[in-house]
Amino acid sequence: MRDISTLIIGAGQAGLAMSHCLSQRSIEHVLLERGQVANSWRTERWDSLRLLTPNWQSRLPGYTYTGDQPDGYRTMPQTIDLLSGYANQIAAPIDSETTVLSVDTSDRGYHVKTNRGDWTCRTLVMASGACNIANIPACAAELPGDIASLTPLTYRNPDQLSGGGVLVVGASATGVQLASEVQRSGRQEILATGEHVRVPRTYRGHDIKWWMDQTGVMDMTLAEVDDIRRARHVPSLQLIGSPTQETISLNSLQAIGVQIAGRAMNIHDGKIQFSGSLANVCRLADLKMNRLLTQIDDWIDAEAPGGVTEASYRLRDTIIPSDPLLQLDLKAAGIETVIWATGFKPDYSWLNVPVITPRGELRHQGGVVDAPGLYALGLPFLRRRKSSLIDGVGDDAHDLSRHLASYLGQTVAEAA
Amino acid sequence: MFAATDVAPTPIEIVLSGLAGCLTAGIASVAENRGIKLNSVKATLEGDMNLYGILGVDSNVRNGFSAVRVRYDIDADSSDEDIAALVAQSQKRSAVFDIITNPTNVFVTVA
Repeated sequence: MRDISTLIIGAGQAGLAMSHCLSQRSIEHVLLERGQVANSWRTERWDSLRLLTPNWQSRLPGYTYTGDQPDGYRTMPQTIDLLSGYANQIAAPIDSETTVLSVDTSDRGYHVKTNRGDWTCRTLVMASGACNIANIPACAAELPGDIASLTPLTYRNPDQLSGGGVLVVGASATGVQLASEVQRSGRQEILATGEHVRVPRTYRGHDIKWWMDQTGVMDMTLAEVDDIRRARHVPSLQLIGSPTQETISLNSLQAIGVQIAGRAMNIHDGKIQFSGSLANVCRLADLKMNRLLTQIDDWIDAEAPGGVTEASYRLRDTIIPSDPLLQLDLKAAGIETVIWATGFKPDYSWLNVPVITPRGELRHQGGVVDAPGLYALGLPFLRRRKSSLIDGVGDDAHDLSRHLASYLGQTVAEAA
Repeated sequence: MFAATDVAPTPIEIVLSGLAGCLTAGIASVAENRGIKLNSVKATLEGDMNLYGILGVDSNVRNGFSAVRVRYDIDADSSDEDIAALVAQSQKRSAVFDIITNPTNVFVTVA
């Protein structure tokens, strides 16, 4: 049994950022990584995926992009290189191929069992990701047995699919990207959408992510939102990282032949039913997008930054089919695959500490978990809107490392 | 209703009226929440129905509405966009809108 001040579970961007912050405070620690650095990016992503944030926007504590394509979007191999390079740069002490089997409280703090021996530690940082498990609605169980069922964690590319029709359920970042790829592969695609968040890829000469960064939208903190639970469950933006800075939307998908339908509600007798609220969820998304663009326009008017030559404009409202699909006999319609792009949740099955709510969510305040010396990092809106981004995890790691150091009895002199 | 004296609303008219009532109550409550003063709110409802359904003439035609349209005329001290957002938010939180747009298991028994 080895003993250490701090263990970090996971060597992705969150674990690495925390490692850097702890090293700066001379806090002895080890990262336990079930695979290699950036394991989820290596093993749980589809082939064509690129980051949704531009290259410049992957700032980590002690790392800033210096390449010649600041506005490009990293492929998965490039993302893995980024994080592997960062791990080397900060000399992160990583135990690779080490899977955490269980975490229990102990007299000392926490007792961590792994497939490569046990540890005790006083403080524990859970940086094991927000997307370990694909959320699948209960009605998926009613899917006829001969229709293939995939999640974004198991989908790799269209070659995996039969030649028949495909239903993608969910129209956030993942759903719209997969719908586009599947339709372009020559398969007929239906996309079922509930509430979603529409944004253009670029606006008035800059990436939307640049505007959101500049205008302070991404820096919004816990204290600035009315309903934190709601903020943590806002769907991901309908975005794709493509070399041409393509804007993806329900309109662009319909233009290439994707059929859109309302939220998937129920499957019975081989028939799926869609909500009749398609028009309203699209209206909500159009209005919300226009509010964001107005916020950007107002910021430009107030701050008068140089180099903005493009005038304000609005995108065409979402085109609603005249008679949206309400029910579909899956087999009669030739649907052979359903992809559930209906969100993700973290896996805490190994955590034997009573900090999970009846809804299955972690009980924490800004990453300070409701158990002494236990921390979480890299979750949606942990402390800020940008918390789940590579670019946002650094500020959270800084804040939480300060709390952790203070818990360990270090005198923390610097201002918060 | 066929062969009726037409002195009261039919059940399906009550359904439409229920939708209007629910959405309008929602608009009022969201407006209050957002500090928007409403001067007048008027809802006009239409439901498309093919009688071949309830008459059993064509089994491919459903009994109920094939589409429902609600048009709001709203006078409020607010921008058009804010009024549109009120109406959209009201739909998002409306019980009757949910009942009409989404499938519901219905169990009818005889006592």
